[in-house]
Amino acid sequence: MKEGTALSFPRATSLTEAFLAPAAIAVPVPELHEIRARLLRELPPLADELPENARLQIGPHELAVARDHPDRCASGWDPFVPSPIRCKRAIGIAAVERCVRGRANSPQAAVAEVLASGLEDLVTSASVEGAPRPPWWSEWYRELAPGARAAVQAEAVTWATQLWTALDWSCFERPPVIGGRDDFWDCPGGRQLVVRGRAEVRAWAQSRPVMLVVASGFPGDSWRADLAHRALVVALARGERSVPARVAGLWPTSGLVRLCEVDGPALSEAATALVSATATWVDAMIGAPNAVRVAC
Amino acid sequence: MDPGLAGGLRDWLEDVLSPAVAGLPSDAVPVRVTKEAVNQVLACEAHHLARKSEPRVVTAELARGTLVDALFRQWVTVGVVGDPWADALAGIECDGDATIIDFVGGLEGDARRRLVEEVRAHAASIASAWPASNPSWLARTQERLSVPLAGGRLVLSGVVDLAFGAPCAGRASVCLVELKSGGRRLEHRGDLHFYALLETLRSGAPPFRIATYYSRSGELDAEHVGEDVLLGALHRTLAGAERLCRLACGAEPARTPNPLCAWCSELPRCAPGQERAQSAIPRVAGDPTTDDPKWDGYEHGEDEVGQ
Repeated sequence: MKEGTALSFPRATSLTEAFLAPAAIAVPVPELHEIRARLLRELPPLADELPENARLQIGPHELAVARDHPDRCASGWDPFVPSPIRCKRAIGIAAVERCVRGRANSPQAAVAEVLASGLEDLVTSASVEGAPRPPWWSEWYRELAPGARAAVQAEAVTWATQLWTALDWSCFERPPVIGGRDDFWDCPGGRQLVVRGRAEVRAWAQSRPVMLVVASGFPGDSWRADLAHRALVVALARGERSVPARVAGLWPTSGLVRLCEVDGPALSEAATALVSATATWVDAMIGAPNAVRVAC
Repeated sequence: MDPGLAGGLRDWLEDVLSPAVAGLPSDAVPVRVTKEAVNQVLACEAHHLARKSEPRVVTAELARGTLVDALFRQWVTVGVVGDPWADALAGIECDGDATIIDFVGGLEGDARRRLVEEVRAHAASIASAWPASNPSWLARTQERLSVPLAGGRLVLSGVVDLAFGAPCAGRASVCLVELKSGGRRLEHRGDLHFYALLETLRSGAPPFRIATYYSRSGELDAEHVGEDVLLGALHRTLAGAERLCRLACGAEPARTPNPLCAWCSELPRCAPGQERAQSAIPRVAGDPTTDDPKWDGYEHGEDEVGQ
């Protein structure tokens, strides 16, 4: 990709080269079939135990909660309340997208433009039929005082700058997708269980897709399963041809990077973590029959 | 820069801390090593444990520090501050810091007026001292740093008020700035050196410059980061981390009389502290009737901002 290139750092270059390196492992087709069969065998009975009308969505956050703090699964579902920290990814992703496409020359400028554009979209959507939907945070953001708006902007700038400086965007031969739509897989049998995956950057390493995930803190023991989960959801939702060759994890807070080459064992590990997390959440929701666990 | 520096520092930390971490119970939560924890535990282990168990005390100094931090962040990011008091409060409220909002809401009369005036003065000082941030500086505010050691059983962590420049493993390319709304203190250097160590471990290269900005006086205390700075920070961090591990194992805390004894909640149960403070009744942080007029809130105040 040649447009929108503004910066290049040695550290970013080595990460980008590793991220975009040709796939070393072919798509593990037989293992994938086996894993799909295993999930279709193990997940529907768990979903059947969910309280009537309950819906469970298992994404990266739910996996982490079930693994690290299973007690919190039983504490009920807190309504989503926007905050600078909770909005930083949504705004930051849009800002990095602008930088990568050459529509802004820095995350600081891009975030300001994203916020202004969110407010404009809000006005347009109210007055023009068929206008694009404004971003989910825009209505909340509109009501904020200047100091609060600055806090939102600052948090998003920091997040966006960390992603923007992590990669050497001039190394991409094809334009990467920044953010993009989350991946969803509806577990057959009542559609009560949905598995979700997401990535911050989706690109191509020659003919194979690759994904990059930005996480907070530092990688724990389960980093491989966490990263492979993103690939597993893609495999379940879109089929084996879409399976990424690797998922890179970036923890800007600690400066650590992990690369998960997506092979049979990695996917199998992710499947085991998914079944385990689902069982933990279902157990918790059985104890709270009115719970509806749906992540925003 | 020495390309092996960061790896060497990390190995050093891992090697020395390995026995201390090995003694932790297998189900222990990770030992978190912050600048506050290091300062406290090196001053007095009993004081550190007392502070850990007591609720957060909000003082006028802490409130001021938090408000000025919010304004600094706004100035660096947006380049505009309208009504400093309203902007700072809105920023803090949005971040969900209810304790500060409640404290400020409870202030009346002169105390409130004084704080409002102080915040306005700090805002004016920031605006006059800091140019509009150039986007190419890649400024990040309230940037979190965390360095896991021993497989994550011990974590060095902190929040830097302002970082400039993109991390780069082969070159010192980042500048760190800490904002202090109180007076200049010797301990501030140690805090900054701790952050320099964290940034070096995180990025693989030390920051090229670190600085403390005093928003009351407008002074900028900047220094170059050489190996001596990093080694000093490393030794201090090791000493603090070893003590924190020992305490996490349930060891009896050592009692070290120091100037903070008079404010320590452990004072009624601490003979050496009582001897030092000449009293068994702790003073109340921020209380003008018992407080030391020279005390500027470091221990109970702005030091905790951002953590």
